Amino acid sequence: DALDDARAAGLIGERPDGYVDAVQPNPPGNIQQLISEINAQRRKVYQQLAGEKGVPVEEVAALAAEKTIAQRLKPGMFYMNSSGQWVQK
Amino acid sequence: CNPTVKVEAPDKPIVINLNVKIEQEVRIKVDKDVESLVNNNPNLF
Amino acid sequence: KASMTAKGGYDLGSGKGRFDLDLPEVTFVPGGLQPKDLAADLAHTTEDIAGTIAAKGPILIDKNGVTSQIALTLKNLSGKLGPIALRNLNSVVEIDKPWPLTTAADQIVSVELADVGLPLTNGLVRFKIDDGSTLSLAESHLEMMSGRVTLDPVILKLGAPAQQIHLKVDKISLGRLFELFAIAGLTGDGVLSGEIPVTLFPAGLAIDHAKLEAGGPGSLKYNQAQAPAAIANAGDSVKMALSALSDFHYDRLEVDLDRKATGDTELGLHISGRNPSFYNGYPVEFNLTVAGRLDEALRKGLAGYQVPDMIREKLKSSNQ
Repeated sequence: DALDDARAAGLIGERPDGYVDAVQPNPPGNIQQLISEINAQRRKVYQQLAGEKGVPVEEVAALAAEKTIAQRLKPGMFYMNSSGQWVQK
Repeated sequence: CNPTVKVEAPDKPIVINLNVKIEQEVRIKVDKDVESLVNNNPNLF
Repeated sequence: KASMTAKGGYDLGSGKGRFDLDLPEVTFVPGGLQPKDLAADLAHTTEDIAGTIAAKGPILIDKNGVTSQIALTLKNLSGKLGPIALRNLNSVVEIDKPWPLTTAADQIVSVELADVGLPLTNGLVRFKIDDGSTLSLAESHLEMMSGRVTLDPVILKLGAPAQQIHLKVDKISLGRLFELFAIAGLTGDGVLSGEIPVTLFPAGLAIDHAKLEAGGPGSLKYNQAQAPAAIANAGDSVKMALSALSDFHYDRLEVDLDRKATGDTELGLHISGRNPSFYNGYPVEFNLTVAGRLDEALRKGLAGYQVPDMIREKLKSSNQ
């Protein structure tokens, strides 16, 4: 799907706060569009789960980042570490 | 926790390591829900 | 409801215009009116805002464009600004250009609490905003655990994937650190200084290997009676390890601190010294690591605060 293709191409990476971002500065229009769509949908599901469980939304989002990086990213895909640097799995 | 106590040679200090993990049930529950959220929405995560 | 009036005119011939803006006090309420209702591009940077704002001053138009001399009053604003939770932020901001938002230089904001994974209190931060996207922070001073915190000057790009701010910490109280991290039963004298790098993400933050050290020798006391359940009913070796800490005189003490975006925090305490009644004072090196959602402890019990006089004067004068 679009997200995995963009991640495989090294254009999109996972941030520790639970959202995706462009790995290279000023990404092409379609990537920017994909990023905003993915983040908007994620924000919605995070707020819903956080509301149900009564925990801060930041915690749900950051936990999702940990799970996504551990279980969804394939080797070579990008994620951001605690120092804010992009690294490859 | 798994503390280890080693009594070393006289000139060396006694080294004591102690690791304490403070678990929270709320987190364990949320952890599972987030895991299913991520794995049940493959095009989003 | 928020209603703003702008009285003035624009001369087509000369291309000059002036509108006197007056936005009487507007109150934000979580779940009610929010800043993003007034300015769309604040949608993702502010959340659950409470407090009041007001704005007054001329907007001037000439051939070079639009400038202004607006005083924007922020009174007891609380809520989330990006990843940082703020409490009682007060300022009177001089706005030189409304679009894109640009302030005059050297603006000052006072804030009772800024939670960057650790509670920074009683802060006075000097800043300037340029083109609605760049926030320049000059060297600013805050407090933490009865010690001083200096924020190094930094230029933050709003919406950047990640940015780091550096906090230099001077003489924070070891006792307050233990209290804050709710390590029940552990008390100590002595002060710590060092560096705390904080990585800011648009919707989260991490503490990235903070390192603090004791300025000189001191003492630690661990009262096993107050130990949390996890420790109290642990094995004998734990009890024996802790008896070493019952009255520990350290000559070296180092604290490492890491906080992930999830809130999971790991506090490492590395001390060397001795306890007179433990192997009759034989030298001991003690490495204690406490890990877990320690930031929960941070949310409770933080001291109150008064708005510094300088800001209060400005608040009064601008509301006449």
